[in-house]
Amino acid sequence: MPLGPFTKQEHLEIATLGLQLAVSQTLGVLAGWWMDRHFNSLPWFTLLGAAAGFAAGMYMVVSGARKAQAKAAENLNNKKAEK
Amino acid sequence: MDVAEILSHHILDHHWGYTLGGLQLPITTHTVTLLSVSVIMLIGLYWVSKGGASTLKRLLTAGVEEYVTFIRDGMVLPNMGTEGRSFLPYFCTLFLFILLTNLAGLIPNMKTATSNISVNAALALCSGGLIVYCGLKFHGVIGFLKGFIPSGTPGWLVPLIFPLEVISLIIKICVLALRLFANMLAGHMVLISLLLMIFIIGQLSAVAGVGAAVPAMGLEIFMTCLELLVAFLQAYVFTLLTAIFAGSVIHTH
Repeated sequence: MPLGPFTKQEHLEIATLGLQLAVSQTLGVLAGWWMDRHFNSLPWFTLLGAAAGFAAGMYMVVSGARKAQAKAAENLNNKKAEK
Repeated sequence: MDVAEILSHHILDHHWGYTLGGLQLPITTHTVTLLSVSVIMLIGLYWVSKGGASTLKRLLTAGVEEYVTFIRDGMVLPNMGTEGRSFLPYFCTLFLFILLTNLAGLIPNMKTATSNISVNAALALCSGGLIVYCGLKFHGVIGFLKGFIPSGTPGWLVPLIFPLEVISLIIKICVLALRLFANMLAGHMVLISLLLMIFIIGQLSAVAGVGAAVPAMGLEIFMTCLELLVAFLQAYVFTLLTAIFAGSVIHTH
């Protein structure tokens, strides 16, 4: 099966990025909500947690995509060198 | 018919409520499954490792050797390099344990322990511990912490990037547990929902219920085959991702 410029492992890493974004957002909101309940300050920590979770998730997606792009270029160069 | 109750009875863990001198024993369907799998693995693999001249023993020994080679050459060495060789027993155990626990759920009257988030959290914690240990073993404390900062990061960005990278690693470990949990839980929910469809339609009319049984059973067989594939796939994904993350900690650049 053709895998394009990526290896099997890289495909798996890229497929994980979406779930990482969702989980970081959810964990951020849950952590903020827990803090709000603890300090009785609803909704401020929840909002902060949501923003922090979103930022962390986007950071992971962007850095993951950049790494994947670099690996794709490296794999293509290796294939060209082999030819 | 209470569909929600039947669904939750099928999916959730059940406490058998045994007490010993006033002490409540934590015997649940999931712990029994986990213990059964552990005992089968211990006794079975010990029996195979003893070797023997019979055809069955030789076949099993060859199978286990092939399995270890598959884990070593397919997962550990390509992702972790030769440094990962010493961690091979962990990956062999992890794959087989998750696979057998997933498959145990397909046996009637047994439960899928990997559809319990606590079991997966414990497995992910073990994998997380291995990842951190790899970093500390090959780079030391300072080197491991430096590995969180990507090369070429400007100095003023380090206080922002460092916590984000640490959180990334924690989330990657959480995702390991959640993926296995969601896949195994969803598969079993679909299986029981397809069966319940027959009875829900049967409440409207007996003839329609019998008519619904044919496509429902067809889908049920298809989903069971898919569950079999998912059991292998999720064990493979969990083990491979652990190797990839451990490899990325060992080979930081």
